Amino acid sequence: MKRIIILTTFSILISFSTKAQAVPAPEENIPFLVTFGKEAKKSFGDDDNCQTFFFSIPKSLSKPVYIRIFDPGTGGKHDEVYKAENTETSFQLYGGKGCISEKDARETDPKGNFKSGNLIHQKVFKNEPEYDDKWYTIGPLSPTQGEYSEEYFGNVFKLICEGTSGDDGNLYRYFLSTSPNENIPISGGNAFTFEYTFRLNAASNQISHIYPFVDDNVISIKQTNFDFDNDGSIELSSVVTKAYKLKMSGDNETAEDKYTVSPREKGTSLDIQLIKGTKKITNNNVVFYVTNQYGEALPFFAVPIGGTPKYSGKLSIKPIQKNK
Amino acid sequence: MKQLFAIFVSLVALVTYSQEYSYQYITQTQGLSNTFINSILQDDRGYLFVSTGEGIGIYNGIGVEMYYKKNKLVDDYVSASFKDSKGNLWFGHIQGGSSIFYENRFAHVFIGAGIGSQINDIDEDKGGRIWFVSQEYGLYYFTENNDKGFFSKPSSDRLYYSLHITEKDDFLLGTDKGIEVYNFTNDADGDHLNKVQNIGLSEEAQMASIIAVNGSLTFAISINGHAYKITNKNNIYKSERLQFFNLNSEIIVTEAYSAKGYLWISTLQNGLLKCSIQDDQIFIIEKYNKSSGLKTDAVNTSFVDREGVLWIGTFGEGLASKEEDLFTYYFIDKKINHPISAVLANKTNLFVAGKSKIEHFDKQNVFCYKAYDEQNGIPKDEITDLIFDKDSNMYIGTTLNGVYQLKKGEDQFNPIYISEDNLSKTIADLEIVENSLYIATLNGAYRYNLETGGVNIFNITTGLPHNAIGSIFKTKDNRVIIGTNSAFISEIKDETVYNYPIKDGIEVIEVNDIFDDENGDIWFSSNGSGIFKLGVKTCFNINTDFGIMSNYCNAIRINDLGNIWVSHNEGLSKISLADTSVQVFDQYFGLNYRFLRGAIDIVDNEIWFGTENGVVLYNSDKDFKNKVPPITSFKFLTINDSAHQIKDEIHLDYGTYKFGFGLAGLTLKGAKKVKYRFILEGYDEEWSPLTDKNSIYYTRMNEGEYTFRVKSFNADGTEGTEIQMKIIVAIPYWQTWWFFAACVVSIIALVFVIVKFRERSFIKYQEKLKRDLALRTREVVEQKNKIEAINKDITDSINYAQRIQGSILPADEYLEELFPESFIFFRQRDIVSGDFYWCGEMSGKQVIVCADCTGHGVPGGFMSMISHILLREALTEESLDNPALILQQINSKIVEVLKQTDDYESNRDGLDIAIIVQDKSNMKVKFAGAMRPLYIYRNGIRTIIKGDRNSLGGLQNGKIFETKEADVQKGDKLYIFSDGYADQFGGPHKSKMKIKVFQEAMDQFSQIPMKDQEEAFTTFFYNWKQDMTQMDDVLLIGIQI
Repeated sequence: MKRIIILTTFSILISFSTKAQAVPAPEENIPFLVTFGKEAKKSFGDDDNCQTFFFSIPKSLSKPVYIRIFDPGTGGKHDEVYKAENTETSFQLYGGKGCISEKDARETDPKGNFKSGNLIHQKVFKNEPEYDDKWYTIGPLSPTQGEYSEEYFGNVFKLICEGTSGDDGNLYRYFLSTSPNENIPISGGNAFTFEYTFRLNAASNQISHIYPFVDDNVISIKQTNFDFDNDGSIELSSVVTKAYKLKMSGDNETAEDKYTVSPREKGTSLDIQLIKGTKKITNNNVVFYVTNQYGEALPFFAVPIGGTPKYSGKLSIKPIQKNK
Repeated sequence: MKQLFAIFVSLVALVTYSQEYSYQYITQTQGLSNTFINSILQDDRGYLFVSTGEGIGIYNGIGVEMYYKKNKLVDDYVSASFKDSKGNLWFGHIQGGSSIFYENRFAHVFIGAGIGSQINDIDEDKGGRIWFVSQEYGLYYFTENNDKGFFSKPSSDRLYYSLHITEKDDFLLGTDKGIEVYNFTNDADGDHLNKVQNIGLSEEAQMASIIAVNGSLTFAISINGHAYKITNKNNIYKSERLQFFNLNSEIIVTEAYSAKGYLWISTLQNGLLKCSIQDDQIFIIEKYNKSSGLKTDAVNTSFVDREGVLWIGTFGEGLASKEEDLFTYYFIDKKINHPISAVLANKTNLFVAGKSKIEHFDKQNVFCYKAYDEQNGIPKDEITDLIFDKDSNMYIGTTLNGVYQLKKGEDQFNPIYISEDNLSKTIADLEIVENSLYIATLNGAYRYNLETGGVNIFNITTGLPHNAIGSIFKTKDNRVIIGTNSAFISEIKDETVYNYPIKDGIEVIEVNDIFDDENGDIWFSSNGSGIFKLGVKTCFNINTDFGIMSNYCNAIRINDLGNIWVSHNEGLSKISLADTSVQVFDQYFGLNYRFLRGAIDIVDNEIWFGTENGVVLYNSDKDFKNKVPPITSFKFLTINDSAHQIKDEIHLDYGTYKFGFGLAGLTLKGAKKVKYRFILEGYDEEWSPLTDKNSIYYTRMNEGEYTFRVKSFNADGTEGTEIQMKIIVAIPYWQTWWFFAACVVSIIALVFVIVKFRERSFIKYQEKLKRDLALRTREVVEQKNKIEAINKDITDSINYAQRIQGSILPADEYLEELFPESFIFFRQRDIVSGDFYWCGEMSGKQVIVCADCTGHGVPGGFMSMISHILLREALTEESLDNPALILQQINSKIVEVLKQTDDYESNRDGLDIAIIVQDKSNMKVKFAGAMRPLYIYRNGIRTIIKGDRNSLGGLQNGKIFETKEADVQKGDKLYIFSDGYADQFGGPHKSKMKIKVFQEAMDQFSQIPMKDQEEAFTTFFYNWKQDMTQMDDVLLIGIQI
């Protein structure tokens, strides 16, 4: 346990000293987050037309922060238009009490009081050329407007993206910035979600990474992926596991399987790799989440806690002959 | 009219684009915990309450004191605040709870349980209920009496952001989808909040604020910047969209606020907008954002305090304040300095010059008409001055290249030749006098004739004290005054140079600039010696002793308010002509850049100053005193260096104390320049002079009544409220009336107790005495009875002894027989006597003896008895012939009988004795005496035959007794006696009679018949003795032959 705590703390310090609050993070190799309008078919790759991301601001920061959304509207250069550009997407930013501490907020499905906390800002985007391929900025925000959570390393804001109407797919990205006009990362900032809905790269053999964090209470995990279209393979790597094959889903299907967590994996992130196959499938959107043995969702951090897990092989233990 | 106003506003907008304001910031440096300001309020005491995401800061003009959850706030994050009609301050928190500040302390109102959603607005209804708008929950109210009511989700699917309760007590509730109108009723059934209507808006937008503007107009604005005028007609509310006239970008509004007749709209991307509403349009008059010098464009809230100071609550840069601008800043370049070395202004035009560049601006609009540079013939040099002649030709002076001229209507500057001397090309000043241009150079003052081009020079050869000219000035009455680097100030009059000593005519003063006032007095500034007024013999000097910022004075001007303005490198000094009082302006007023030497011009109410970065404009129209009195308060009170609660009256026990008073003169405008006057009545005799010390201490304060009174004065000298505090140090208890009274009562009580005690003791003692007396009396009586009995026995014994003793004494008849003419005066002291007498006749001889034994009473009686016996034994015929033998025998017998020795301890008892043996046959008497004499009177003549000087008995020492024989005649009177008669005390002096008196009495009585002598001696004795005690047995025997 002591080793895990030390390792975790050390890893956190290392990872938080980096500055990467892009969502998805460059290391994840995920081109876009995606949310479809609520009239869209599930088979398009979004099971609930909603994506919640949390942004964590270190308590020590007392300067304004901004959450920037790239291409928040639907239509134009990046989005997946089904027939007509008829989709409205709502972005709602929450802070204050209950923002993250409310249990429903940490669920994978947008049910119950998942919109907990104080609504700080909301804006609905349609097909608006002025935001196409451009950044929209929310803020300035005071860090203390968020909900302070020691578990999630600071003041936490919650950004909910909902496809409130239409059937198109809204592809977007986030950035947690100190500037309203530029993407300047915050030292020690991070972003995380409990259910990841994203667009896979179109090119073959591209590997996307997502990093669920395994805390001390996790004994086993269950990974669930939806609508992977059997587009390649899904593997799990960690400090003790290398290329562990996970079940993958077909079109409009859900696949899940379990993985027992090694003690050495506690306090580290897992590296789940979605390895694109050679099917030339474009516009492949996937939903992914991981739960623990209690069915509680594990967070995927944009900046993996403990850093990207490096496989260090199996430990071999030899008895040492005692000196006589 | 509308168009004109619009044009005006647009021009103002242009001005704001080019000018910068001075802001003061309150951040962590001043104690603010968080730079994200959510709301600002001022309480009735004048303190500013700054609500942030990390507590509430109370600002007193100097610093901020933060209050948090631990100080009784419901939560650290404060999202809204409100001051009610009674002056209480209410605060709403992010989690829905609310706090109150009253009676100088914070307290919980409602902790927000069940609310859980941010308080966005607070308002008060006519019934004094304080209504809180919770974003998701809805409304709840509290009253001062702790009444409360909760109204959850008055409308479903809405969020609540703002509230305005109208004069008619209607609730205009701003939601995320427009405005709803509610009516609140309170009847027997309880509280009811009834929805009356929705106010139709042009959008379903989140309403940032709904406020009353100028008391009549209700104004609402959405976060998107859509503004509405809300009207009520026939109890129906309607909205009318107001358009921004000159807003050319989208805004995100956080709050709208009304003050000073303006609408202040806080935005997150465009700063604070100062607006007016005219003809259903909103005109932005000024913008306070990055473009005008504010550190951020994100403004969350604003507030105008009671002194007119604008407070801007930024979102991330703390609290900014902006006072009414005495100074306005132009052309400041944040990237590189933009030095302005010369400035020239008239009513409509402004010329600013720097290095190789002159810009001509429309002064009102700060619109640049024309810029001149090297392309226009300006040398690559700093321009030191510029001036126009009456024909509007421009002349400029340069540092190294002399003077250039720009003729009216032309575009090209041309040099003017005045001299070949290089020093003449360094120009300090230019002045136009009639048709001449005076040029101040390092080579003297040149006069260039503008019509002919002729040049005259004034230098040391023509009478100037120095060739280095600092300034040339034409006075209002056309005098030409020249300042040099010398001990004199000079004047050119009728082609003659007159020099006036500045000080003593010796000390060199470097003159920088000259100006004259309305009275015609000439003032000039110097480099290192302050400023001077030209006088007849010497000049009046104002320097740092008067309080000016520095003695290094650059430019000088005197304005329409009668103030001298002097620029220094570090700022400006303003000196009143009336009383020479001085006010300095430094970085505190935003004067951050160095003022350049000759860059100054005055026109009407404006003074323009050139600095190393841009231009500073002083406008005397804005130069008015802050007449809002500061609010005086006590910041702290210490007694013996320990903090003490501040109260109107403080009572301290007797002792010696140190008082410390912390003073605050609360003004948010120039707070650091607040001064105080104070007096401690009971100690000080008069008010203190004005002081900027805000901590006053008094030491060694003893008993007494002290009243500390203090008044504060703001930076402009406006007197604030007076407050006072009374401190009473008790006198020692032993000086109090009650102590005196207690003492008196105690003494009385003590005396009473003592008296009572003594009385009781006395009574007891008396009773005891009585008992003792009775006891003693009984004892005494018993003793007395005993003694009486004993005494009676003794007395009886003695009486009997007396009888026995008396029996040894011869009977009177026998004595008379032997001595017919004789008497015996015998008075024993006690019953029995030590004296005795005896008489007898043996062998025809009559013997009479007078004996005085040792002692008296019983011992004497014993001795007399012994002696009588011994006497009788000693009487023989032989001894009768020689009575001395009687004495000898008695003597020896006494020694024998009484076993006397010569030892010290042996008894010394014995007797004195006189023995007469009369032999009638031969008329002779023989006498032997031991210590007793024989007196013989014959014919009244006394003859004393002394006895031997030895007593019988006692120490012997060879006692010898002798018999004396005397022939007697008939009629001779013989007396023998004991010493008792002469030793008796009495007489007039209560003294011993002594032998002399006795002899005189005997001399007298011996003359009378023998039978009468006894009575005479008796009478004399008792007359002498009177009532005194008889001292000894008395025996006197007289016989007549």
